[in-house]
Amino acid sequence: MTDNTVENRSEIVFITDAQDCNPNGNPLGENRPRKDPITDQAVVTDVRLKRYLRDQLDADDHGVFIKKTGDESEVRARLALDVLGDIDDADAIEEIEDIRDDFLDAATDVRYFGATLSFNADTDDDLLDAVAEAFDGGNYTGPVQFSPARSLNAVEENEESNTLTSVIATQDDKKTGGFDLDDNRLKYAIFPFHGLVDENGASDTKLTRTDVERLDTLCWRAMKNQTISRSKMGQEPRLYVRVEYATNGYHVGDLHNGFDLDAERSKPEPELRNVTDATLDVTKFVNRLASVNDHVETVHFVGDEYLDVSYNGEQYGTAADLDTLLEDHGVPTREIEVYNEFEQTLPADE
Amino acid sequence: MRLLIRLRAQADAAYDNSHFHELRGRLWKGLRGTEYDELHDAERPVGLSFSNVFPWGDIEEGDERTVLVAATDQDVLQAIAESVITDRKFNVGEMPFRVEEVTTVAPDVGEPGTRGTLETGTGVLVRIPPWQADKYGIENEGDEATFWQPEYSLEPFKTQLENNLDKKHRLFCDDHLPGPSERDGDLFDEYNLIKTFAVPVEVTQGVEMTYVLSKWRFGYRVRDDHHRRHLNLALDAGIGERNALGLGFLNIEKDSKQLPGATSSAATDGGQR
Repeated sequence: MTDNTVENRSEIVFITDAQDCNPNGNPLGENRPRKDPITDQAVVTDVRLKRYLRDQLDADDHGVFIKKTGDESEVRARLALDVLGDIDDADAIEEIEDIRDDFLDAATDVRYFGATLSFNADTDDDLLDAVAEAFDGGNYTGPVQFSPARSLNAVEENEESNTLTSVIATQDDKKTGGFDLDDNRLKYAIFPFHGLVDENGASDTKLTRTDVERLDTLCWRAMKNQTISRSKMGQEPRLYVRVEYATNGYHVGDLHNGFDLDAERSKPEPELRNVTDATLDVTKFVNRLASVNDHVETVHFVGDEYLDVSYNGEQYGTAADLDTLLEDHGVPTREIEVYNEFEQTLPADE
Repeated sequence: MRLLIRLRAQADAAYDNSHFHELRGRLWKGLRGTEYDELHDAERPVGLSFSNVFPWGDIEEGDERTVLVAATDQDVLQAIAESVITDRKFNVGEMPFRVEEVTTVAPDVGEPGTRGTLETGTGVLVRIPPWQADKYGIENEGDEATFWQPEYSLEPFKTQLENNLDKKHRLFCDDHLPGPSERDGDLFDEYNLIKTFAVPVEVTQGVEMTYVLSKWRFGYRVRDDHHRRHLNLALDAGIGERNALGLGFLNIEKDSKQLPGATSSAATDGGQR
C-alpha cells in the first residue's frame, strides 16, 4: 500500500435511484422498503450503502473486517491471527504497535468506516492488556462518514400480493431453503447520499489518499455490481461528486441539500417510473460551490447520461454535463473515468 | 434472474432425450391460470428460457438432478416457483422427480472489462427469412424461413441473433436504453460452433416439426454497461428463437469469468454445471 497521507477534506454527494426494487428492506417491518410514514419518502440507511461498499472491496480482494453474516467469524479470526503473528510477550511493545498498523493495513473497510473491536475486560493477561492499549481500546471512528439518504420524491409501492415466504412456511418436511424473491418493491425513488472524508480523522485509521481516490470508482462500481441480483436489482448510480477542498478544515456541509427534483420538468411524483421521468435541479448546488470556489481544489465527478439536469429554471443537459456547468461558474472539475481508473486502486497494484 | 430447481429422482429411469416438451409442459403448468398464461401462445419472445434436466445420463432412484429456469420478469419466476413448491411432483415424461429445493440465482457477465465464455445449454434456433436469403446467397424459392446451417457462413447467424435480441430488448428493457444493434461492436468476440443437429420439436400440441439447431460457445469481453445489459438479457431471455420451448438457454461457463485486473478468476454464478 502506498504510504500517502490524506491532506484535503472531501465532501461527497452520491445520487442513486431505484426502479421496481426494494433498496433497503426493514427486517422489523416484514422487509418492506424503509419509508418515512409522514412524507412518504423512501429511506436508505448509511449502513446499507456501506454494506455495498464493503462487498465491493471484498469482491476486489481487499481485506475486509466486517464481512457478510456467515463469513464474519472466520474472517475476523483470520485477520486477527494474521496480524498477531508470533508475539507472545507484553514487553514487545513496538511489535504490538506494529500489529495495530498491520491490522489497519489489512482491514480496508476499517480505514474508511472505523470499527469497534472487542477486548475482554480485566483479563489479568499482560499481553492482551497491552494489545488493547495499543488498539486505543478498540474504538476506531471512521474518517469517512455517510448519512442515510431520503428520496427526493414521495414513493409509490407495488400492490400487495402474497410472498413466497408464506407458501414455503406451510410446506411439509422437505427443505426449500434459500428462496428469497422479494415482493416489496418501490416503483421509483431517487436518493442523494451525503458523505464526508475528514482529513483529521484519517491518521487514526491510516486512511490514505489512495483510499480516498478509490472511493471515486468504488461507489459507482459497488452500486453497479452489488445490486445485480434479487431485490436489489434496479438500482443505478446517477451522479457522484467528491468536492475536494483546498482550505484546511473547511467544508460547505449538507451539499446534498443542493439537489431537488425539478417539479416543472419531472412527472408528478406518483407517476415517476424511471430515470427519464425525473429532472434534477442542480441550481443550489452549483451556486453554493460557485460562491466558495476559492476553497475548492477540484470537484471529482461522474454523471449518468440519462438523468436530465436543470439550472436556474432551464434545462441544461444531463448529469454527465455537470462538469461544464461547474466550470462555467468557476469551479474546477475532473471527470472520473470509472473503468479506466479503478484497476489502479486494486490490491495487486497498490 | 433464474430459478434453480433441485430434483430428486423417485425411480430408476432411462434418460429420455425427447423429454423436452414434457419439461416445458411441467413448467408452463405453473403459469396456467395466472396473468402469464397468455405467454404460452404469444407470437413474440416471452422472456423465458430453461435448461434441460441435467446432468445428462441414466437415472437411479435417489439421484439428484437440476433444472434452471431463466426469465426477464421476476413475477413469472415467482409464479413458476409457487407451482413447483406447492406441487412437488415433477414428472418429466418417464422420469419421475420430486422438487427438493428451489433457490434463485442471478448470473452476471460482469462489469466492463470482464472476459468470459457463454455456452448454450440447449440448442439455438436461428432462421433466415426468405426475403433475406438472397443477401446471404442462400437458395430459397419458397415462403418458409431457412434454418441456419454452417455453410451459410457466420454473418446471417450473427445478424439474426442480434435482431432477435433487439426485439427482446424493446420488449423487456426501458425504452431510453439502446439495444444491441444501436451500439458498436458484436455481441460476442468469439463464436465457436460446437455442432449442428436436427431434432423433432413439438411446437404446439400434436404438431411436430424438425428444427435444425446449433450449440455454441461464445467468448465475450464486456465493453460497457450497455453491453453488460445486452449479455445479461441474453442470459435471462435466451438467444435465438422459440425460447419458450426451452431453446437458446445460456450459461456462463464455469470458471471462465476473468475480472478486470483480477489475479484469479471467479466461478460462474448460476450457470449450469
